[in-house]
Amino acid sequence: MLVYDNRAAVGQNPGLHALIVGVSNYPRLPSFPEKTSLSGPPTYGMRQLTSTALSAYRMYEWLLSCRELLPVPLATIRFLASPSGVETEIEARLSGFGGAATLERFQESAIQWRDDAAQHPEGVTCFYFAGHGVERNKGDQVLLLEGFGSPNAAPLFHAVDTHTLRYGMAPSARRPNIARRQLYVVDACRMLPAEFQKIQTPIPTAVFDVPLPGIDDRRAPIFYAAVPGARAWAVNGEPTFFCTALLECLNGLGAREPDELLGASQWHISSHSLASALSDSLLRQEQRRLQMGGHPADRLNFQVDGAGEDFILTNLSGAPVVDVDLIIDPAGALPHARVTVIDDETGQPVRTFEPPLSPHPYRDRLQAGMYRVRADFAAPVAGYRSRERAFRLVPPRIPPMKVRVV
Amino acid sequence: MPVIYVHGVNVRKDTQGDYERKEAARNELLRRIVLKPLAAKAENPKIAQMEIVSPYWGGFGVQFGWGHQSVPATGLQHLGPDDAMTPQSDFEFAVMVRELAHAEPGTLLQSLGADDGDLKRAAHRDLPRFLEAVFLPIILGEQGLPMDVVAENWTALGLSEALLLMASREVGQDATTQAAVGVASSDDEVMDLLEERVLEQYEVLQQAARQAPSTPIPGSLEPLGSQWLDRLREGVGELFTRARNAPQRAATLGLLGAYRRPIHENLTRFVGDVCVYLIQRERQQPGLIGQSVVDAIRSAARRHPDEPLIVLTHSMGGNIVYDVLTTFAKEVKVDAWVSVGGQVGMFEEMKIFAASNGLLVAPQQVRGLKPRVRYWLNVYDPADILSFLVKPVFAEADEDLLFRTGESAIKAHGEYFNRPAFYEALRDRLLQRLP
Repeated sequence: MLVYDNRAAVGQNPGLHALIVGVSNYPRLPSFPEKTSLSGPPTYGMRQLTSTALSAYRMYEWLLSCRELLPVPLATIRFLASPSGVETEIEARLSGFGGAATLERFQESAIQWRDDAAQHPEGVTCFYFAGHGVERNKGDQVLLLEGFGSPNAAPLFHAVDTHTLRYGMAPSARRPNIARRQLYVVDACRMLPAEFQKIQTPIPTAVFDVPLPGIDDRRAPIFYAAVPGARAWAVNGEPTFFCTALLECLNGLGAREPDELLGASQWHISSHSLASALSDSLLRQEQRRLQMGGHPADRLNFQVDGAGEDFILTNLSGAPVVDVDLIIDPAGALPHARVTVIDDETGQPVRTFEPPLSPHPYRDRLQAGMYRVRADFAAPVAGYRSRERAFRLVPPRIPPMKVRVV
Repeated sequence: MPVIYVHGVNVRKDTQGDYERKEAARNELLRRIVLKPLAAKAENPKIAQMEIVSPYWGGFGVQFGWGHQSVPATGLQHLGPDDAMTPQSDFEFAVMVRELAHAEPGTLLQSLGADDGDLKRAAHRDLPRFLEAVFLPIILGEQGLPMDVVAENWTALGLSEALLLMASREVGQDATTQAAVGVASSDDEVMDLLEERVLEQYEVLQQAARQAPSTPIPGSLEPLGSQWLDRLREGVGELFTRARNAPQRAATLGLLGAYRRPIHENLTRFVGDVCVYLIQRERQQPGLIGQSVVDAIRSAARRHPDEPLIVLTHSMGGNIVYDVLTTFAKEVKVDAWVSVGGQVGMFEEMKIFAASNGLLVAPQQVRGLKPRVRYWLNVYDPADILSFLVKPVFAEADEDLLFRTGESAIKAHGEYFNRPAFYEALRDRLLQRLP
């Protein structure tokens, strides 16, 4: 369902068209944390979720929040969600927002989304799905919609596959002007439930007809929240681990400096920088998952297929703010060392710490960029000398600013 | 260097060959996992071939005139055919799978997909433990290899079981197999893969055993040829098939019905054997049971006067050996005594030993074993209700080693010696402590 429509303003110009889907409420499946049942209609080892509709909503919020910074104007957002009660309690606006993530509505929204995307080759599309997923064979991904588990339909009738979705968005004679920059994110498991192993090639519903082979010059990476055969994870009542990592990257951890070759005149997030930063961000999420009792064998991981050439996903209003530790080595010099942090571009001090620097290490938040750190001694102190070091603070990996004064 | 093994209570020879089969398996595991590394360390190949003496005293133990008919029946019946009765191993396997496959405690973490594939998950998370659980029917004595595999040759059967357990252990520790399990697509693929790998490794070990037998086998395995191997494959295949269905089967079993009788019988035999031993033993005379152990130890020491001596005891065997070393054969010197699943500490607390001094109580500790016993390792399992610590009571005990058999209180007591992991723990200690 269309929840944001700026097409009149965009007119014939390229725009960004998004389709966001989150499914938590699967009425045919047992609720979380209930155990799956061995009797009754098959539930394929799955339960209802309490995190994925909320994840979709957070993605919608992010897109809206940065609409002035996107490489092309935000034109449309279509949003489908089947939230759980837990999620609507946490995020009341999710209740009744968009439409339920049923097969019928998904097909309807997808076709309209493609029609809009077919208006301009310089346009951009964005697809995000969070919910249950299965993988029938390597490289496959099937997305399960609200009606999944219905005893009155084939097992994957209420499900769609990313193959017909993504390749149905390829340029063709009927849609020669379709957007050539397309981002796909699938936040779901990629395993084949045991019950499906008894079925000869379970077939999901096709989203689109796939055009015959021809030149496909899209940049259309598809980000998977799990590698083939593995699980994606979430915490009850919170956005999924992958969604959390994704948003952290889109909000600055995946930032790159201005890049003339890419046509980026300011700090920005690109498809390649996003992939690069996700590793670091997911690592932090993994630590949290382990602290919550997750097993190391289920390590959070992700995969990007069809990356192609780099392109800008969003610009940033300025350099992102990063966390950095300030360290004086050895710590014995702390009572005597005056510490100054200097912006390398302006030559102006941005921080000055009279001795002693406390706490130590000192955790600071600075805008990404080049800095120099000086440690000075007002009076000579045996064994120590004033030193200055330069640091490049560019995400995703920020080294500590450590100055050795011996 | 002789090794003396003194068995515990509730050990009887019968026409089923259980005693001989277990002895052969135990000796093989002892030789391959413990003695061979000791021989390599000492650069003395004779150690790997040294004599293992197992004095049998069960014949002097308690006899039940009515064959336990006084034990009440529970009236519970199991659901399923008789040939599906591996209750303890089914239960243990199901518990293992549940623990490993659903390791995340609480209910906060949720998977965005199917939550099944439990066997694969469990195997991926701890393959040695998983495979040990697959072979529980053998370890627990609930199911053996097909008898005609070795033409009713009990020693050869025990040897085959030992090699099979070692093969499963080695496969479980193999990094390539662990990686293969990690990328398998289904439970079935995992089980097929493991079955195949265990059989391959078994054949490797079996070939090596033929070329360099560590246990003399009456009647060679060789003539049995491929037919024998096919039967073995069937037996192993059956174990894997049982494991696949064990969690569902365990859920249908009446556990009390399955356990009541064994609990009663084991406890009554334990108490009975202890009573008979104590009645026979006097303060200065070992009695029939004690004498059989004294004779075995003295005889072994006489045959190998210049060699160190290792004594391995299980349960009541430890109490007997303690009496032997402190009262009836005080001249014997032991290089290492490993008491397993024993009550030596508890018996001394109760002042039951011939050498016990009723006035010696906490905070004092009992002394007098050293220097005749150079190293005393006591192995216990908290789940084994008949195993006790010794260090709180004996000042000269070197270590109480915790070894988790993973079994319930009912089964843990008898299950140390069927597990390769137990011998590995033993090997590591003895490698440190023996020259």
